Amino acid sequence: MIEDFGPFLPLSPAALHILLSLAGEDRHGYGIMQEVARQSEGQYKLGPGTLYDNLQKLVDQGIVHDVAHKPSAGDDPRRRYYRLTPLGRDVLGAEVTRLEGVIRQARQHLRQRRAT
Amino acid sequence: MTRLLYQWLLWLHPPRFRREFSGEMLWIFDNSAASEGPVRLLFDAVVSLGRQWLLRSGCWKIAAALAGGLMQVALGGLAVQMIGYRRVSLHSAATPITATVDDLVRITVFLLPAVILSVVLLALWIRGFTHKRMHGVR
Repeated sequence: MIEDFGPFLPLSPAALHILLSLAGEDRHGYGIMQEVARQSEGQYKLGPGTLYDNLQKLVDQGIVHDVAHKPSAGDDPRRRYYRLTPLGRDVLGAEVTRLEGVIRQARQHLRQRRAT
Repeated sequence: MTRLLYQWLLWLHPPRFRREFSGEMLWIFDNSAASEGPVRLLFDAVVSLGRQWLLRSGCWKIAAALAGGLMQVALGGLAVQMIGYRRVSLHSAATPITATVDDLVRITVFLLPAVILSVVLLALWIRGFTHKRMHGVR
């Protein structure tokens, strides 16, 4: 059965970057901000306000949830870790497929333009 | 000083957001103020404050309703002024200019459909807007 992720798509740039940063491992807020900056090579920087606004929406939609993390030495108790849910993983997959389609179309149009 | 200001900005956020995230946001401030610059983080907090109150908490609906009400009152006032102006040009300057019951009825008849229409349009727009926000990550 093919699930319809239409209501969730397209993702905003912030939501896409957050989901991408959580695709590999669980991260806390600051870790997400650092990973987003790393993935975009510093071109896209999330502020804490934008980050938590998006996280709140993603949590409300069941795409991300916060997880209890075993605190290690030096861990601040204020830190909370976030994880992609199975739904979140599917939504991210659907968004990547959508973006692949967009890129395919863009390449095709650019090639046609050059040929004429 | 900047930390205190940031803490105060966080405290001004809507209660749910504050309970959930202010501790983590302050922790990020403590860790990144030196590298990111406190001004950027303070600006982010101000933008977040506006976004949370105006867009997420639903207070914008009250603000929109107030703006609509004020606009209607202003339009009503304008209509009264215009009627008064017409009277001045039709009668001598000595004639007292007072709004009669007739004028008030006329103004009400003019404004009532506009008020009903604007309330209906606002309600439809709010419904569409909330529906879109509820069903998508934007």
